[in-house]
Amino acid sequence: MITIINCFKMEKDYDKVSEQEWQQAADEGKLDLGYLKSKINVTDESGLELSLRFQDACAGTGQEAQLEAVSAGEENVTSTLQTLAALGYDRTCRICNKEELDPGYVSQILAGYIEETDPDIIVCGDSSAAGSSKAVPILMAERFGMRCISGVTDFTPVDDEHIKVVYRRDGRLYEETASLPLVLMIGNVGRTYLRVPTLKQRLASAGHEIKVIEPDRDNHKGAVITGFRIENNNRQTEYIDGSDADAAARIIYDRLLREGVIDR
Amino acid sequence: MAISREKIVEELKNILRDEQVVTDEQVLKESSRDRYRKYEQCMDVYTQPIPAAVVFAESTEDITKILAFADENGVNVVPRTGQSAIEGGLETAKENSVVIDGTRMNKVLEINETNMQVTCQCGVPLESLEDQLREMGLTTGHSPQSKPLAQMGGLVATRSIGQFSTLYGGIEDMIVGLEVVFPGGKVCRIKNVPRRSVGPDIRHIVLGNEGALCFITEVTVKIFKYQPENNIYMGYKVDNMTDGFKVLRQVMVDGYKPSVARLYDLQDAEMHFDWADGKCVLVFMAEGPAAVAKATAEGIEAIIAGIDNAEVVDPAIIEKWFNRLNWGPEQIAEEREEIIATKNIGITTEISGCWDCINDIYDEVIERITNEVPDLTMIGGHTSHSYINGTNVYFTYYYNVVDCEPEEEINKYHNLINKIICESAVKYGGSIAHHHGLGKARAHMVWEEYGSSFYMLDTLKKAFDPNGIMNMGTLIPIKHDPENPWRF
Repeated sequence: MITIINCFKMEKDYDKVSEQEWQQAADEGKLDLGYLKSKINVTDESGLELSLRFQDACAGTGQEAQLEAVSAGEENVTSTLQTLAALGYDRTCRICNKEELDPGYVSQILAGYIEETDPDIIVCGDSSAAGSSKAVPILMAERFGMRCISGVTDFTPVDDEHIKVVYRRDGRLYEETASLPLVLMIGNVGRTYLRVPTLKQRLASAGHEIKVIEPDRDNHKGAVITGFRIENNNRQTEYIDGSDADAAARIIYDRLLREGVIDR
Repeated sequence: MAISREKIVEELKNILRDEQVVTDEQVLKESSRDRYRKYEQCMDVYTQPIPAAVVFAESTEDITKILAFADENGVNVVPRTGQSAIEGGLETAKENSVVIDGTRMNKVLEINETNMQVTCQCGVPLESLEDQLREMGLTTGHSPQSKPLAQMGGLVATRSIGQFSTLYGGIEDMIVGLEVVFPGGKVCRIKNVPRRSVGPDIRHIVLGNEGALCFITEVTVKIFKYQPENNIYMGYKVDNMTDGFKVLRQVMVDGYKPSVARLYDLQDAEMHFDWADGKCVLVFMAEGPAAVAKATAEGIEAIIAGIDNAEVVDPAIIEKWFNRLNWGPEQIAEEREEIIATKNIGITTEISGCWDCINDIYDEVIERITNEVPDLTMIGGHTSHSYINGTNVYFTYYYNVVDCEPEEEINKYHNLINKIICESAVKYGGSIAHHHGLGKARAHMVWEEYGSSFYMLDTLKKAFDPNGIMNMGTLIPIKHDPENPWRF
């Protein structure tokens, strides 16, 4: 059994904001988005759909995948979690929250929840429309000591300890059989809209209970970035000979191994 | 004897310049249907006869020559302008049809600020006309969701209605005069007067003919003062549709004329709003002179005050939401991507009924579709056009296409849903089509819709199109199986 936790974020559909409104927001210093409907962050949505496809693929191999979805937010999150339950997510969780949170705090409250589950795979979109810090999955990987793969475009089952991961680097696609556990940062993946449950599926999942967690706001250890200061202006440049990017990467890799920066 | 495809093209090139006669295969294929077959469009499947040519007319004279040729040779023609049709009206149901495209006839001929009317050719895009008028402090008052696509000829041909209809009316209330061409090439002009009592109102032969009687080349419509600074937006949450219908009826019966009066059921509300909280949503806009707008808003507020549990919604939210309702090419392209990826497709069907039956139609349709349609993911609806005697309901439904070839989707799902909606509308005495037209799809219920008055429609068709060349299959089907009317 492979356990997958998908972390997702609901956000306003910024594509619906007109040029005139952006201009007005720039002039007045605020952007009113109250009228806009929220939707799942686009890369998180891809992650949610890819997890369902992973579960579908497991069904054909005799393997099993248990899916779980977690998000922080208000009631609009509840409705999305109900949709996910209808689609086959076994467990869902809403972390009560009304504010835009800094990535450190998000990773802290998610980690607190994830720790209890001990998943094999954590799936997150690689960034949100607002902020786009790309920090949450990396901070979680660090917290749990898990390997994090970014730019993921697909993942499929191999066995209970390995999955096949496809990811994009510098415009090229790579495929790797990776050991679990893993944090997967889902990149820009075409045609991975979340499937839509039928009314019958919704009815069948009507008894599904969403776990609701009230975060411990007094114990916030996350970092809040209040400003930046340049500590050192020096730059060090070294040209590495390599016939192509792979060869150059090999040279860097070997050197880092020699210097003990990384382990084989 | 039927004229060959090659001969049709050759003759058209003798009538028009070569460049006006398009025979590119992809253009022809895409011209064989409209958005009624949205799923087939997404899946690049073509099930209708491919037309022989698409001709781009540039003048009334061009139309005259084309229709004379078509009538003489029994060639079916399908008139079109903005191509926003969604009921199959633009399908080329007969072999070797010719699609007559009026988009190049796009001149605004006269804006008459004294008589408050504008005359334009059929291919004038509504959006550009409206933009031009607004710069002059004027408006057509016509704003269908298809405004970014629709053109004036098509709007009149399909009996269009806009989002401000409760104040300005449908296109039938706006139309003043027309120029049309009938089969054989006969040009008729109906002059521009405020009203006249000289026999039947012959404009109504043209209005809503859906290209099945004539080609509309020129229209004159009323224009109005544009006073957006006086607009007052209002929104309310109510417990159920019955309360919502009650409010709408009272607003109309008490004599108020908000330009927008909409009621969303909870499923449709959830599609549009984050804040509906499982309730139905009423949306109004009062416009016109400041005092009129203010009185209208106050009157609606007083009616709402009599409804238990009605909650006020921030007007700023309503205003911004409303200004994003229109559908243009970007939305269509985005929707296409989603359909291809998810095989989940959303469609609408609109009907109308008097106040004493509209709630029954609504309830029955929701219940039947929920129980009878497979793979349904959403069924809901809203009303967006109200009158003193009734209103419309715009049913919105989504379904997953499962275990089904693209060619069969129309029968397995779309027609099944249309059948249920139309049957319920007829059963309770409503109409099967409020503003999208009969096209070639709902034409299969033309007899039930018209009853004994079908005689009048049939007589018009036979009189004006005796050789059967005008958009055959639209309004009156050409292939109809009474045992399985919704299987085609």
